[in-house]
Amino acid sequence: MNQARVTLTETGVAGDYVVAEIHEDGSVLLAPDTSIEAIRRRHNLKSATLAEFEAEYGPVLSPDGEG
Amino acid sequence: MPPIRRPARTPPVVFDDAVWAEDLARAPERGREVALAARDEFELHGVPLAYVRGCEVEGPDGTRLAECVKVYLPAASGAHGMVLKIERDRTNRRLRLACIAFGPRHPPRKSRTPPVYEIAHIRLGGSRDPH
Repeated sequence: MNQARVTLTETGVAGDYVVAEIHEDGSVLLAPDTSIEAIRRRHNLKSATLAEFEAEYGPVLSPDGEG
Repeated sequence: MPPIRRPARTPPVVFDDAVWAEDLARAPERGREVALAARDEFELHGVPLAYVRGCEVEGPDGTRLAECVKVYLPAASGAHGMVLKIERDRTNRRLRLACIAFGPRHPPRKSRTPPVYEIAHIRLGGSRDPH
């Protein structure tokens, strides 16, 4: 299930959050949104490829099977 | 005397404060030291290309890290890792490496700390249990 996302604009807490917990009393716990979509919004980025990277900087080491 | 050659480097690395705070909060003291030293270096100069390794499109634990690279810290074979997503700056069109995860490569099972690959996989939208 996708987590609900919330954007706060109030000074001191402004930023992107996800709803981490919903409690029985109706209170909710927010956590900073660390998804790649949020990172891109905050830093004005868009996806690029390994092929683009290697064309500009040269080849990287091959994957080693670890992850 | 031969000229001193600096190693070929990548573009500067983008560090997101929310990501960084989350990852360092669960790192042990040694891990935090390693992370902070790497960040200082990579923000200024990028990562030495000789240490940059491609990630598995599908890793052995089911993690999916397409278009990502990684470095082991301390270089070149340390116990920690940083996964970097290849990105492009929308303003100036330059390539960037966005740090999307820092953490242990092989945490002890009893520590309940996720491996750096699993952290990165989840931030890319993957399921929380990639196995």
